[in-house]
Amino acid sequence: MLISIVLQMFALPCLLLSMDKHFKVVFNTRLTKKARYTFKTIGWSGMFISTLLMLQLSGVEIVYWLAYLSFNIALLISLYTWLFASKNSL
Amino acid sequence: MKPDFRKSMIWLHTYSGLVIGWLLFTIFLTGTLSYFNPEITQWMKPELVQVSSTQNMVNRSLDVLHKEGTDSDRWRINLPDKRTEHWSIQWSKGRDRQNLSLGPDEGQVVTPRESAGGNFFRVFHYTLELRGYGGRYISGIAAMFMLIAVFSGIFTHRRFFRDFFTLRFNKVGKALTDFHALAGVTTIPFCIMICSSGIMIYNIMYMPFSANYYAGGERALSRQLAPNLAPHLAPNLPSIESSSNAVSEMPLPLKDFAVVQQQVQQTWTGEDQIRRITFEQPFSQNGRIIVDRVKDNTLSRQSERLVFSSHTGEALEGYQPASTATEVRRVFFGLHEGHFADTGLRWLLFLLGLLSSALIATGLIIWLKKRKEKHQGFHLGYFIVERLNISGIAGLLVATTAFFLANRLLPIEIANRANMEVHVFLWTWLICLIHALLRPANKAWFEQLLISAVGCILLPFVDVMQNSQWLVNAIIQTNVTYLGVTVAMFIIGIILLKTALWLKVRTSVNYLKVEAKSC
Repeated sequence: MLISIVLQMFALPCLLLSMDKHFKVVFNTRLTKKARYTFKTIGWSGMFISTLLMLQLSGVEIVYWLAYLSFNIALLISLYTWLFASKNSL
Repeated sequence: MKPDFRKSMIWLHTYSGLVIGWLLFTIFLTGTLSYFNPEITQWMKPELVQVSSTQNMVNRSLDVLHKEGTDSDRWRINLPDKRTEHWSIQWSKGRDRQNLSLGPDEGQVVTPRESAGGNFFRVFHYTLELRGYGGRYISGIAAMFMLIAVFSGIFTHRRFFRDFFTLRFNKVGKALTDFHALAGVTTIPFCIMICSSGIMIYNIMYMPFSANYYAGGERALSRQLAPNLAPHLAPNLPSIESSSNAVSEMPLPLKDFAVVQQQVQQTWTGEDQIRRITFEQPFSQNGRIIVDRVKDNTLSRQSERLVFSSHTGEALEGYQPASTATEVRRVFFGLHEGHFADTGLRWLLFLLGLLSSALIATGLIIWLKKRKEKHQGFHLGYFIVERLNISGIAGLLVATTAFFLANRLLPIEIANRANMEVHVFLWTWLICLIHALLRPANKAWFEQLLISAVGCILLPFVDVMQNSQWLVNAIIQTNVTYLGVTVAMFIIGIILLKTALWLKVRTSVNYLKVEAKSC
């Protein structure tokens, strides 16, 4: 389960950085097509593998996985907003 | 209703949320607090001492029950567990019930203050203090509306992935919309689970027709699907005659629980697996002991139970297996309550519950803000919605803080103290509604948020002023529950204070002028 959750925590920032406006806020430069494709592939692959690993888990661990997914999304967005977006208001 | 599918969904989402939003916020917030029901109860009864490491609790309980409960038809021993330090015994004859809380020292009796405890929030969130007046029906209907709002919300939010990570705090309107979308997306699995499981708990009340037609009512159907224990007839004991010799011939219940404990340990692996022990008809020849297992290791609301003779400790025939329908309901019930969750998962569920409550609150505020931007001047409907928003959201926070303060400040010896705490909660809430009606909206928001913030921040200090020994003991004994609740209240107070101050700045006249110029 730990690997599954770590994958989530890695995949979600990749998906965030695959979007033009968020990439620009973080790195202050434009997102190239290649970089977008790379981030999207890594992000969705990570989420897919995390989901596959989740399906091997027991019932309670699946509850954990879903709860962590929601928490990781909220945490990522909070950190992103606090560290980057509030300084460069969208 | 608009002809376009998405517009229909927007309409449905808007009005299903608005009509029941205040009730949903109340249910979600109080339900979220009930995830920490035993912990909150322990904080509200600071007289409770740490007992979980006490040896021989069951036999010591039986010693007391043999002295106090000689005329009882039921004994009950509630053992402490990981989440509560409350060790209590109960003996009853008919409806007449006596309780005693025990302490770690031999013969020590603990007298915690009478308090509604955390259980108030659990019961309130599904009965709304209207048990017997349709409270459970109302909360069930609210859950159904929430499901409609969740599913229609998915279609409403068109740029699902594009705006997934966006959260702008520079303007109140944008912050609310972004937060509502974020909270809505992240809590979809949680909201669907909590609403559907909540409806499943009382589904037989919401759809009683089959029960009435086939089984003669809900209770009759429940008895069929989950049969009680069959009556136990002890075969070899002489029948008791009603004579003066009957008392001396009366079979006595066990004094040493070891014979039962051994069998329990052989059947249930793991330490401290017993949650509760019930002696039914302890002095009857047909008396039996029902041992309930802890619920940590099952999703079902009903944990395993073993049955023994109350005189010999011999294992007896247990409960008949319940029907599949009952087991499904019990699992949904268990999912809803989250008793299986350990500390980490419980905190996650708690945070998701808070996020869901914030989702509902922001939705109500967004509805009003969008309409007020288009309509200048007084509008009765918007006035009512605005005041209900303030009292329903901020007012509920004030009422909850007042409930905790009342627990500390009400005199211990007052009659019906637990009810008084509930009265404080309800009256404070009503006063918040009146305050919201009389004050300008922005000021009412700020004042009520500020009051709840100050209340939460002051709670630990009130606690220390009442009796500093509670906090000292909690630190010495590393009473994580007590310290956790205290720290959590302080942190919630700080968050509310920051929110109140942020709101005050963002809604001040000068700030709005600056915003208008920059646009």
